[in-house]
Amino acid sequence: MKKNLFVSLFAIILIFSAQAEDDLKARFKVGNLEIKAMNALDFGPEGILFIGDSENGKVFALDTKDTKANAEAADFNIASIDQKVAELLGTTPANMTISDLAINPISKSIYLAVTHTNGSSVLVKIEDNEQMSVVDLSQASFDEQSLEDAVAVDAKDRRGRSLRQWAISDLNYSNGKVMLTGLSNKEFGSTFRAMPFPFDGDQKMSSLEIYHAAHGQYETDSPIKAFTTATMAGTDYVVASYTCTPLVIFPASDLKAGEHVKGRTVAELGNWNTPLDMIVMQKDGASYLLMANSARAVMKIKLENIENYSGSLTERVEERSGTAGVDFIALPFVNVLQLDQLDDARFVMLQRKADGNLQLWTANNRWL
Amino acid sequence: MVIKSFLICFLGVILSVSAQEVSFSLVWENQSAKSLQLAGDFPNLKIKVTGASNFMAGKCTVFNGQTTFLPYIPFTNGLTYQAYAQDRLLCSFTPSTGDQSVPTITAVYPKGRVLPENFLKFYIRFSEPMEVGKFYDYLHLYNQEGEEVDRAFIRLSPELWNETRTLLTLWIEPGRIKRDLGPNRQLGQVLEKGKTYRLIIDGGFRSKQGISLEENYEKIFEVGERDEQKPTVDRWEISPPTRNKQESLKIHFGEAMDYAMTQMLEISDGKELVKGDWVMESDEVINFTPEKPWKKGSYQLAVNANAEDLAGNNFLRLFDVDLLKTEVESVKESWSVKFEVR
Repeated sequence: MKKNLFVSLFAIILIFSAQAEDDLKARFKVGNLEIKAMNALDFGPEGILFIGDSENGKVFALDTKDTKANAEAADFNIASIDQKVAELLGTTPANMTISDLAINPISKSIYLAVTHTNGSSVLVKIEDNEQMSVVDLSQASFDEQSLEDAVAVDAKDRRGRSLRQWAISDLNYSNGKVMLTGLSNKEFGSTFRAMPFPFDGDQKMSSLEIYHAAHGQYETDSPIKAFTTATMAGTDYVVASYTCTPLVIFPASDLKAGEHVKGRTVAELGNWNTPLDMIVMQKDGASYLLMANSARAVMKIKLENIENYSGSLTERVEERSGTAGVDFIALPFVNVLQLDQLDDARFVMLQRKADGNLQLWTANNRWL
Repeated sequence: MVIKSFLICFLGVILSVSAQEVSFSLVWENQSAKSLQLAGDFPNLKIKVTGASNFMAGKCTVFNGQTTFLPYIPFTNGLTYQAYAQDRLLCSFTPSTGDQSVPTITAVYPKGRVLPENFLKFYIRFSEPMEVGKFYDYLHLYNQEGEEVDRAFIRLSPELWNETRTLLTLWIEPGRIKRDLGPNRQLGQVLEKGKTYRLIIDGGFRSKQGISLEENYEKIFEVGERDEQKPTVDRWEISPPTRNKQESLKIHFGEAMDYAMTQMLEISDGKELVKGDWVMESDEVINFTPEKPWKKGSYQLAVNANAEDLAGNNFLRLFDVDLLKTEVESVKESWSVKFEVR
């Protein structure tokens, strides 16, 4: 009897887990996933990779089927990775760009979005530090969501396509929502989108206007370059860095369609610098924001300091390239282009070395 | 073994070859070498760029005595590839397009010579599809003293291209335009009133086919007053067309507007949208040419509220808002103007 009960419970658990999987991938179709410009990547649950495609103005959800757990992943350490990727694609580093990097949290495989100067984009997968392959998308299982509102009054060309040009700069999945940011040629501002996943097809999407105040007097909107999500004092926040340097936070609960969301500016992180990527890591119960920058070393900011920061940056930052707001620590990693978390204790960086080559390597949490 | 060399001319595309072990051809599409076809069965076909340590990825299929290799991205023009079966070199080839069209810059918008101090974005039109991911390396802005203006532009990644990669949107660094942000306070505006600047695009910038611009492009412009006014339809003047003719409707904005205005306007006859093409005649004037002749009656011209002037001010709000000056915020999504065709 006991055994029967155990078997029944096991069967129920199996049914429920199968059901959960069905729910997330129920709308997925199998076919040729034609990506025109792969600009931003992030992993969701169950090996689902979200891909931002600027040229199509779409987000794709790809079932990578890469779901074999890998608890003992080795460090990634690949010198001249740009040369190796170029050889894999039959070209040279001068003819390609690695646009983004995402690590599958289940398999610990690295996925790279690679763009050729001729405009072609491919997804490259790296396993166990050395096996490199191109992901074949010709028979992929996927779903997609357009970035345009169904009700938008956008001009269309004669074939009914939107004429808006997108440049997606960052994309993140968190708690059932895909969020992305970028620029559109049509208007300046925070083209920040949040859409529920699984995609609902009705395009119930928040198109947010996110403002930040500069020193109390001027209020402006602006494109967000990089962002991530973080939990502070039990509340989920979006932590975002603008192209024009301020670091702002706003509650994730503000992500509602039509809301005018005002971010709280918590820091200005220096001029001559553009944020490139950011992640959150934990150590000893504390959370840290790590941010890669175009002209500065990787910055480490304790989230507790952001949470407790109540200043409004009213003091002028006189020093050239000065910074203000919450304290940060510069880690000894310069020219880091991409970051992602490998596991609780390690993160992977794509770094341009002094000789011009790109290196993929792994750092551990002793830096936190 | 008969040594054959094979010269393929396909859609005006030439493949240069030397003596080869087997017959082969490249399959071209849109001036890109999409795949390699070899005469013979080579299930273990491998290809690499000459000098590379590793073979490239691709799909190899053998059918009817022919082997096809399909790389994930087209072969790069100008590189030399080697195809092997085991250790045997089957052939080498260097894809090259017969069409050596030299790309040119056909227009830079705005076209005007005087731009506001808080000017926001350029649009650059090319005659050919261009390479992606490299543009900012070829872009410069010089002041009238001949010094390069540092950090004048925001280096967007990805770059903002249209679908055919012939139109690029280029942004002046917004942190330096927005008043009181760090870059603005410490570095000042990118553009200073009363001064002259030169926008330069180096001739080394290449087309998708790898062909460089023939020469440097230069646009000289002067900087005028800061634009701190929202655009308004009150300043517009419409020259109505004549009925039964397919002539253009001309709209004078009364100020210079962003090039994206071509995507921000709609005309309705009260029942449905009138189809046609929008073309900027100048920064201040746009023309609409309908697909069919105009009919007599009332029309409504609507502009999207997000349409911008040259300084990024739209119909709803200024590019940066001074909160010390109280302002009633508009919430309309569009404005419209009526006109009659008689």
